Amino acid sequence: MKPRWNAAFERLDPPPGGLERLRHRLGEQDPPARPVWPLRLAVAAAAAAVAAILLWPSTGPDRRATDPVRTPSVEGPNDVVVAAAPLSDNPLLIAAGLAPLPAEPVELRSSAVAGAALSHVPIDDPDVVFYLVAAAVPHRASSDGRQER
Amino acid sequence: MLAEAAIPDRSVAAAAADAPAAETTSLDAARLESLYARLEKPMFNVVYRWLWNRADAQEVVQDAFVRVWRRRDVVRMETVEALLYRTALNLASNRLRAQRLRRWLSLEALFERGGEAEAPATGPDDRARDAAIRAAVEALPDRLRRVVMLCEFSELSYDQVAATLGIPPGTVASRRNKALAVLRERLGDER
Repeated sequence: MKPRWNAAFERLDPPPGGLERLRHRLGEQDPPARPVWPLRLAVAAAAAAVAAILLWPSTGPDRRATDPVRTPSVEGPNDVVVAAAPLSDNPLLIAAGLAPLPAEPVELRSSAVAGAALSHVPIDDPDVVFYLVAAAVPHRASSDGRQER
Repeated sequence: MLAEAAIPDRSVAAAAADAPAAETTSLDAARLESLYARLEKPMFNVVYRWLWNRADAQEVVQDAFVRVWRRRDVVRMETVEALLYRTALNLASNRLRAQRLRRWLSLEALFERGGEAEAPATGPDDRARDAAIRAAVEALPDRLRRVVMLCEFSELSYDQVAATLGIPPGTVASRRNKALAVLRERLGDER
């Protein structure tokens, strides 16, 4: 048989000796105040970690790719032919909804147009744009003036 | 009486503006003892409906008093009762969360306390009855449980319960009715 609803409010007696225990606890010294600096340090470290994660791609390969002065054109085929995505195309920012999806078409860096071939490969996933990129590694002058491949 | 002299007086400069203006409204040891004598049982009964353990419930009630005592410089007597209930409810919720986390991490055995054992049920019928009551109470969402337990066990008015929980008085009444309806549905309603 189910108990009546008001059985949930049956008044129980607390264990005896509560007041004496409370007196004892209140008579103890107050614990020293905990220092705040470990908490602040942890918060600062966490903020720095988040900032590093968010900003790392912009200081990594993408930034090098956008900077033609700092990026030798022979560093890699993708760097050679495909204009780097700007910071706003950072996948983390896109995932966070802070930047729009990059739009087609892919742009070729002007210096690489002559040595690259780009082909759009249709795939089923409408959210993914797939390009086949072929690049010819350009010649680079060696220190003694000879052309090397 | 409490050994008040043994407790260091910690003045809080920032709270000077909120400090009680008249000495008659400040929290002293005698008033705290008087409050404990009056509120121990109702607070115990409220907290017990979260923890279902008598030793834990009493400890949480005492924790609430200790915390309020340590902040006595900024506590006002007019609101101390609501503050005690609010503190106890929050401590009970925190402890319950910690218990669930330990259980989830399968570390419960490491933290088993040797406190007072629960009053043994006298028979299988009593155990089934207690289990049914507990299941019905635990089925209440936290916001309903807080309201209905404070209304049933404390001597706070609707307005005081509302102030304690930070909700409008009308919400107290509606949540209490809703909670009672749930309990009536899950438990018997024979008269």
